[in-house]
Amino acid sequence: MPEIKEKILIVEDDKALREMYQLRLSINGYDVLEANDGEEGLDLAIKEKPDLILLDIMMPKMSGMDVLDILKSTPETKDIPVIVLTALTEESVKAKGLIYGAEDYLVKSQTMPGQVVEKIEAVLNKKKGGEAKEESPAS
Amino acid sequence: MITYILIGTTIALLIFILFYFKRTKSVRSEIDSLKKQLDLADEKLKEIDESKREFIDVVTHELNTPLATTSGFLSMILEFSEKEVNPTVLELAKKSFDATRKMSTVVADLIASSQTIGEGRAQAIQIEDLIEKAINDFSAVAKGRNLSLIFVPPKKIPLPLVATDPLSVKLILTNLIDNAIKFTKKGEVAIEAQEQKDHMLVKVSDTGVGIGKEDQKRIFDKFFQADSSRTREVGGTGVGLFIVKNLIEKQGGKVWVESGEGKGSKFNFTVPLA
Repeated sequence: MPEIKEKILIVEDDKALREMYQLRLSINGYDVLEANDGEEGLDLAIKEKPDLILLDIMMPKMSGMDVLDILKSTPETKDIPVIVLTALTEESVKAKGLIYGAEDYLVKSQTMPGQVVEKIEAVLNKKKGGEAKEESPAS
Repeated sequence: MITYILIGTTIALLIFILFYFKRTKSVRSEIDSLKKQLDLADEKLKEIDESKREFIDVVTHELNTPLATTSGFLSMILEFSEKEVNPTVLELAKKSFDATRKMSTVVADLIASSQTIGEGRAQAIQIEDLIEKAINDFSAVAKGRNLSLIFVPPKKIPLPLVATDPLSVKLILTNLIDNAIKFTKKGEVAIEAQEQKDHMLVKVSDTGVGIGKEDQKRIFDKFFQADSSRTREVGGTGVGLFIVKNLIEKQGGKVWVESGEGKGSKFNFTVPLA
């Protein structure tokens, strides 16, 4: 039986970047969903229940911060881990992202696609570990 | 006679008091108007600062997004095409990739130096946690260069809490460790934390190329780079230590370096105790 790979939702307004992440993640066998803006991202998050969301911060219409806020306050999506993508280097933006409940953040120009995959794997493994612990508290 | 003198003195006194009050009043209104002007100027400065920050954010975003795409795709060419692509083409891709990486660092450094960083509120924190985290972040890089990166265990555990902005300390440690690794070809990079009278002393030392006496005086200046073949080799913009000094001083600490050419470097900084 082929291994069922996790579903990753990318919310990013820059087409080239979105394609890049999509390409790199599918090489590792992830099922990749793409959203062009925050609203589309929220729709897909509720409809598709991805295992993880890669979320850009600076987007037109709705900012990634607002999207994260809604994701974390919606029962259906509040447990989905979010990795924030930022083109900014400002420490406070990153700190803010973490405070609002993002699992981690990546500075786009500093993180290569291969490292993004590593980070996703780490977060998903952590999530699996947490779930396993919850299911069998004795272990 | 005495009455006249008395009346005269009283009148003189009254005139004096009148003038005095009038003068005080005019001085007071002058102060008030100056204060208003100052408030206005302050408001204006804040507005300028805010729009500057917004401008930097937009420029950063616009510069970094295409840069991330270019270096990302190039990194994928290098990651996956090793066997399929003509070695010359691969070499060209590698060169382009290195150039984009360098540019990312330059952009990041310039932005950091123009931003109002380090204004986070001080919190009581355990500095050894931040040191351990920083070491963890750099462990792969150090390993790749065959350097040992260690945290010298403090004499007394736990160390007392320090009062500082954790993000600033993170930036300080990142910059110092990154430099230490860059300028050390073999040996080790060690970090120590010691409790002193009213502050914590943190040392980041390496067994690298060291810094000459003349360069030590200017090493914390903006855009200063020691003129050595190693500096040219590792690149950078020369704002790292300038940022470090700013951050440390904003948190109420001091920074200094002990070094000599070929003798390694030791960067010391202090953080106030909580």
